[in-house]
Amino acid sequence: MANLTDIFPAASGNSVLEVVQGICDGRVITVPSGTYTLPNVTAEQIHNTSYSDVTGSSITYTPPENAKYVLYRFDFKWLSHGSSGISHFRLYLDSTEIIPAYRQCAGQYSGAHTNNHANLPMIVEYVFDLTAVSDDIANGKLAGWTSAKTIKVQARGYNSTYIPGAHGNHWFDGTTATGAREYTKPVLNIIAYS
Amino acid sequence: MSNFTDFFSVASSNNLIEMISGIPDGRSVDGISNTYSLENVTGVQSLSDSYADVTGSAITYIPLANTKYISYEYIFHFDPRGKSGISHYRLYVDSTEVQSAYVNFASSYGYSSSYEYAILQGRMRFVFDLTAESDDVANGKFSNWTTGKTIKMSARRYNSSYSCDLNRNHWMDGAGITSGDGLWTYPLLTVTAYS
Repeated sequence: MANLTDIFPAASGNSVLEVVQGICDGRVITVPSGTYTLPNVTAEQIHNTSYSDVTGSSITYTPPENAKYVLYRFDFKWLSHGSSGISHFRLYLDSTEIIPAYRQCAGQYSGAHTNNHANLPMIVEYVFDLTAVSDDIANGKLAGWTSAKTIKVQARGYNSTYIPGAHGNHWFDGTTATGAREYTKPVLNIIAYS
Repeated sequence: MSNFTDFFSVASSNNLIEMISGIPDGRSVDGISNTYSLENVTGVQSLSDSYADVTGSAITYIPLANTKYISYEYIFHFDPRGKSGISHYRLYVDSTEVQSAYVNFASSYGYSSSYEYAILQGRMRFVFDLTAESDDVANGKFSNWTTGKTIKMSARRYNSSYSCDLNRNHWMDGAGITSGDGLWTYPLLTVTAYS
């Protein structure tokens, strides 16, 4: 006689409820909680001295039932267009900044503010805690998250001497990058955990 | 009377199918249906003016049924040994370049081209879309990826003034390092499949 577990195996499970991950090329991704269209990044973005949305970073997301934690990770290329390219990055949930998620990035420069060569990988990420007793969105804590909320990154340069860019490539094969080689599309990631 | 599901709970499901991750030290990693042999990185790799395969970056991956997306991630050290170490990185599936994955990395260089102290992390990241109606490999889109395909990176430096080493560490414990176990660091290769 067969064992019951031969027919009805004990459920295997883990704490990952769903993963939304893709190149920001406008693709449509369907996961258990719904269908999401990723932004379509088609060029480098050069930042100025005021905050603006980083292209590709925005997603309007509704976690699945039972989600306790939501990881947001925006994986993109960063580069300097002036001196060390000191730059500031803020993360937002709808219109509220997640203050602990703030970060800055910078390269170096030589003596006369020249040779601003820094081209580096950059990540802005945060794990939202959905198990809080009450909302404390500025610290990424929510007492549940059951409707659509928009997560996005904003960036600016330190001042007009330190101009940064997102997604761009300065060079290609021993010379200046042109055409499609001038930028790399970012990767947007959401993971919901129970 | 108890419910059947009190003893055999309904399986939770998600869209993560499998994750293959490891240090490329020649190890074998068991996936759900296949075993993957990672390459064996044994030290520093110096880039030249011509593209060469990045040792450790290759994996021949066979997607499981229902795979819609494959994430490829290769995290590595790079040491700009000359000036800013401008370097170029391409991604390939079999012999075709995924052009939209191209990326260049560089540090900056210090006063009078000296103080080239930067040791940085490089990262190649791409998510292949297996739901396309037709193949567009240059943009990482596939209509029928069901057999093993080799994903790998190749890299070169800008020119000989911008030398660049992969995997290298420059310092250890407050001193320079030129030999021994601390001279280099393994990269990390991760492939994740989603439905």
